[in-house]
Amino acid sequence: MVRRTPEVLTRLQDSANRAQDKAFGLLKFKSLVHDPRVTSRVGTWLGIAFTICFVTGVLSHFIQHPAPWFYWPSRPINLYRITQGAHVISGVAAIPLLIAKLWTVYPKLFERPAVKSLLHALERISILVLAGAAFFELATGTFNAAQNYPWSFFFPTAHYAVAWVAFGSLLVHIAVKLPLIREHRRKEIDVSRRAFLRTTWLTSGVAVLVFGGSTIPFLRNVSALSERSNNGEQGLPVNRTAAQANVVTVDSSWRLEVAGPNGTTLFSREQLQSMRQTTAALPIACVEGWSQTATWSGVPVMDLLKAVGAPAGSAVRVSSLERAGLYNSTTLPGVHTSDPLTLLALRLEGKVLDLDHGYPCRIIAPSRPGVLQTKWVRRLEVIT
Amino acid sequence: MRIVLGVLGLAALAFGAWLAFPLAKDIFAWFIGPPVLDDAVVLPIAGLLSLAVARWTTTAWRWPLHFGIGSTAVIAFLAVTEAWRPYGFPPKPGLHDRDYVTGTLITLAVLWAVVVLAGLLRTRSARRRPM
Repeated sequence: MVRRTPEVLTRLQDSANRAQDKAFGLLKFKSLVHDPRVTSRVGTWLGIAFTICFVTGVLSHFIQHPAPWFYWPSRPINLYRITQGAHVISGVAAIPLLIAKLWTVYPKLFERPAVKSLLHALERISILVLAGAAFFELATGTFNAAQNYPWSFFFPTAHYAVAWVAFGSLLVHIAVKLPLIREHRRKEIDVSRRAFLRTTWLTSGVAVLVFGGSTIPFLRNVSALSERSNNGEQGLPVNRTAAQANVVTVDSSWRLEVAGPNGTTLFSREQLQSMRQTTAALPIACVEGWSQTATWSGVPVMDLLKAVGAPAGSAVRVSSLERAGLYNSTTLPGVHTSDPLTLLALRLEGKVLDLDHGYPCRIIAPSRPGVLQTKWVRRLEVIT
Repeated sequence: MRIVLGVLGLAALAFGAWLAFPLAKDIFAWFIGPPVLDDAVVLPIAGLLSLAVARWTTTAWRWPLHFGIGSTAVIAFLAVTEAWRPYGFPPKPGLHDRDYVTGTLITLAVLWAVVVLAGLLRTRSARRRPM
């Protein structure tokens, strides 16, 4: 018995291997699209989409959490709208590209032996990391655009961290595959493979069409899955309502505090209205990708700084009547406070600001994320 | 060029891993789940559908149907993020306040009308082509 045990095990192993080989034998991938010429072409577009996503995402991160060396201009006024719109659009376009790319290499998943060498094992693990990070970014990003959070982690922190993993592993993958990519991109492709590529581009186009209306104005009435509608107060969506912010009423005793080098000056709303008013069409551009231009009127922040004796181009800390929110206090950099279109807005589309839009006054500055356009302003404090 | 890309990639990867490490427990399921789901469910279904399309339709219908099936899958995923909201923020004035189910159904109806039209046109064009 003792002697026969290894024999039985060997037989069992052999029959298991035969069954496995038979099972894999059934998986005959005959489709012409499982071809490096197709993979390299889809991969190139996926790489471009991910690069746009990564660069615009990192920019958005640094605008919200600026490092001392970081500079973000206030012009053109639509700059942030464009970069964040490109972030969301390229992310949505990348979903079909990623699935198509993985489909073209799907037979590799069943390659035998699964691991040929240590290097081969490392390459397979690195591809798992790349796929995991890529899916993570696209899935969580899409859910975030819908402000839907079926997870326990804090989205901005996780999305930013995994973006570096995704982009880093993408660069490593390109470095490993570059000779193959170059070789196969030069080769001609036949009608069937071309049809697969066209179908992939078209599917990406459909994804942009149904989702991109929040970002691309002319798609607004076509995009069924656009997060925004035209139902917002005063024609503009409300991302954070006064009720959510616990700002229930603002009475006539409200005063704006402006802390400058010579102490704190108080301004009533009437005093603000009596100052020089500037009217400008400026976009609200949300980190979730939606944006809309509206006509705002109010006092240029540079005039308020001048009124309290602060030097032009000073950075300003803006505090809201909202006590608990993540963005109840923000910093306006000097490049924005010295822009004459950075306003303490009192009116929207010619009418007094609705409470949901930040009554009694709010910040509206060109080329800034919506979360930094502080509403229900209570205090401006010169910090440099 | 390859060395530069590799070194930059490894540096970015290491930085990302360092940032993500404290979150590893929380993000694990969302990191591993989607590629496993893709490999074990989405791609096999895509393969079977692709096989069915290849076996039971003519060449003229093949790519319109692939386009229809692929786009339906993508639209369905995008629709889930807006239409299924037990963990979502409640609708706000002008945001997430549309009828996404009806919108999705209309979009799918238009999509499949385009697929059928493309299939018919390609069939007609294939018949007219001289043998």
